[in-house]
Amino acid sequence: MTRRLDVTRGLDYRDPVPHAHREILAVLPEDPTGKPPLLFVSGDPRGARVFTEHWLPHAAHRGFPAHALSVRGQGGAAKVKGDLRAHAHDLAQAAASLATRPVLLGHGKGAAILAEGLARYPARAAVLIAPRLGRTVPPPPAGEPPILVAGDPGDKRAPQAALEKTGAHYGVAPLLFQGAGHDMMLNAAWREPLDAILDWLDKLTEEERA
Amino acid sequence: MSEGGFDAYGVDAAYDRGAAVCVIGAGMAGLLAVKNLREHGFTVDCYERETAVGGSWNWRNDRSPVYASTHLISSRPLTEFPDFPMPDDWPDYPHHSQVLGYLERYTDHFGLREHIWFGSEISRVEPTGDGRWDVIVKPVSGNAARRLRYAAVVLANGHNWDPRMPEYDGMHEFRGEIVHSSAYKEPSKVRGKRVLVVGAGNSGCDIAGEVALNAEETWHSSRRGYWFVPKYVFGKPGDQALAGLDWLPFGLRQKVSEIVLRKVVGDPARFGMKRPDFRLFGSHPIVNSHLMYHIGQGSIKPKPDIERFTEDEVVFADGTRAKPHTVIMATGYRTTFDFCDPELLGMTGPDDAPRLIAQMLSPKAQTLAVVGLVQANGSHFPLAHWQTVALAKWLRLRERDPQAARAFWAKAVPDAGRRYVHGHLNDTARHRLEVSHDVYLKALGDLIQELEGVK
Repeated sequence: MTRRLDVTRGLDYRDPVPHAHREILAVLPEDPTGKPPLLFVSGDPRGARVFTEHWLPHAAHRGFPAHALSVRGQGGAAKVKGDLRAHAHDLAQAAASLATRPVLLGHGKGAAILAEGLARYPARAAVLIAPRLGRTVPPPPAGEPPILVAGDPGDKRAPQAALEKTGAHYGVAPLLFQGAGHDMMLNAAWREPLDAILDWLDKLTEEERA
Repeated sequence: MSEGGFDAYGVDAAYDRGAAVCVIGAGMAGLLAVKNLREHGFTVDCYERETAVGGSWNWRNDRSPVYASTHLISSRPLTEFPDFPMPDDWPDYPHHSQVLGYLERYTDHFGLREHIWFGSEISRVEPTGDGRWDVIVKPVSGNAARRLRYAAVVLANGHNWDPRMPEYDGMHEFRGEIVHSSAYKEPSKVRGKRVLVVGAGNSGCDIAGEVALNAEETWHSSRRGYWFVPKYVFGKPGDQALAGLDWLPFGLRQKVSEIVLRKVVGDPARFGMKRPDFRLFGSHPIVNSHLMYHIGQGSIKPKPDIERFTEDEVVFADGTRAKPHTVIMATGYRTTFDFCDPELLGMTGPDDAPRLIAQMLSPKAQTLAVVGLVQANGSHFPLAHWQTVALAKWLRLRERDPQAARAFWAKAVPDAGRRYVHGHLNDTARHRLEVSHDVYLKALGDLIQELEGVK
C-alpha cells in the first residue's frame, strides 16, 4: 500500500503544530571531517539520553557530528503531549536547524517519527533501527533519500516480520544483527550495529563524491 | 544589447555543459530550482546578477521591492517550504529580514552556494534547434561575455522588479513628485508631507498605513473594491482560520467565508471605500488590518480612481481634489523576460501574458520552464517548491523514458494556458498570473504523481 504525496497539508494549514521546547544533545568530532551530521531520535521516554552513553561518542569518534533529539514529552524536552504529527514536526524542525543536511536515524517508535518526518524534510539518508511502525503506512519521503532498515530478528518488539515489511515498503533488504536486542544502543553489543550503519554511511558519502 | 559586440570575446563558440541545467536567478524560486534539480541528480549552474541570494527578499538588491517594514502577509506555517520548515518560534508573520535569513540558511544548509555564479547577467537565451539552449552570460561589471550550452533552462528571474507605471492626463505637468512603490523604502521620506498612495493591492494598502503614521496628510486612491482579510480572524492568522473551512465544498466555503469576513471586517462602503465587485477567492484578497483603522481615525482619506493631474493637484473621478507633495504609485509590476523570444513563453496574445503548460513549462520547447510566475491567494513559496519538483520529474522522465515523455507532451501542449482557479476570473493582464492556491497545489501534486507514474 502506498500513501499519496500530500501537497495540500490541510491539517498543518488549519491547525499548525505549536512550538514546544526540544532537547538536542550533541557530541562533535574534535576536528571537522566533512562527514554529514547525524540526528538520532527514539521512541523511548528518556529521549536523547539513550544515545549519549555509547552511540553519540562513538559516531563522533568516527568523524560524524552526532546529535540526538528529545521530541516533546521526552527527556529534557517540554513536558507536553504530542501525537505522531507533532513529533514529526519536532524532528523536521531539529533537522532544519542544523548547519548542514543531516542523516536521520530513528529507533523503535522513533522510526515511526522518522518515517513521518521524512515527508517534511529531505534527509541526506535515513536509517530505521528496530522499527515499530505499527499499522501506519509511511508517506513518500521528500527528496528520495537512501534508506537502511536494521534490527535484531530475535527482537520481540520489532520482529523479523516487521523488519521485512518495513524494508519491503522502502524497497530495501533489512540489515540483521542477531542478538543485538531491541535497545541495541544501550546493550553490551552496542558497537557492532552502529559500526555497520556508519560503514554504510561512509560508503554512501564515498559514492556521492565519486 | 546587440550580440555583435560580444564577437570580440568569442561568444560564437559555445562551452558545452552537457546535461547540465541552467537556472536564471537565485531568489526564492531559483534556489528551489537549484536544490530540487540537484536532488533529482541534475548538474545545475545558477546565474544571479546580484552578489547575494534572496532576490526580491534581499533589501540590499537594487531591484528589491521590500521596504523597511515589510512583513509576510501569509502566516509562517502556510509560507514555509514544505520540506524545510521555518523555525516554529518565529512570529506568525515574519519580517522580510527573517525571510532573507531563511533563504540564506536554505542555501547553506543544502550547499547550494557553490552552484551559483554571482554578478552574472543573462543577455540572451536561444534555442540551438536540437532541444538544447545557448545561454550568453555576461558579468554585471565588465563585458567578457561567454556562450554556454545547456540541456535545459529554468527562468526564475521573478516578476516583481519591473515597475508598472500608469498614465494619467496631465501627469507630466504635475510639479510634485511621482514615484513607484518599489522606490518607497522607509517612512522618513514622507514625514511632514502630504502624500497620495495609488493602488489597493497588498503593497498599496500596507504602504498607505505606514505613510499615514508619518505624513501630514494621506489619501488612498483605489479603482475597485477588494475583499480584506484581517491578519487575525478569531485570534488566529486569517489564512489559518479560513483554511479551517477547507473541508466544505467550494461554493459553500466561499459563501461562509464571505459571511465571516462581512461580520468581522464590516462593510467597506461605511468607510468610504468601494465594495468588492467580485466574489471572495475570485481574485487574491488584501491581507490588511490597519487600513480601515486609519480611515476610522481620519489619518487616511479614501479616494476613488484618479481622473487627471493638474500642475499642483490630483482630480479624482468623483470630482474631489487633493494637493499632494508626493504620489506613490503602488500599481504593480510588469512581467519581463527581455533575454528570450516571447513566443517561447506563449506570450503571443494581445496582453503579452505568458500561456504555459501547468503555468510553468514552455509550450514551444520541452526544456524551457518558468518558476514562480504566479499570483496566488496564498503563499508562493510552496507553489514554487512543487513546481520545481514537478519540473525535475519531467526532465528526468525525458531522460529515462522518452516514449512516456512524448505521450505526456502530446497531451500537455493543447492544455497550455489553462487557468487553475475556482470559477471565473477576468482575463486581464493583471490577473493572467493568478491561481487559486488550493486548485493549483492539487494540480501540481497530480502532475508530480503522473510524471512519477504513480496511479
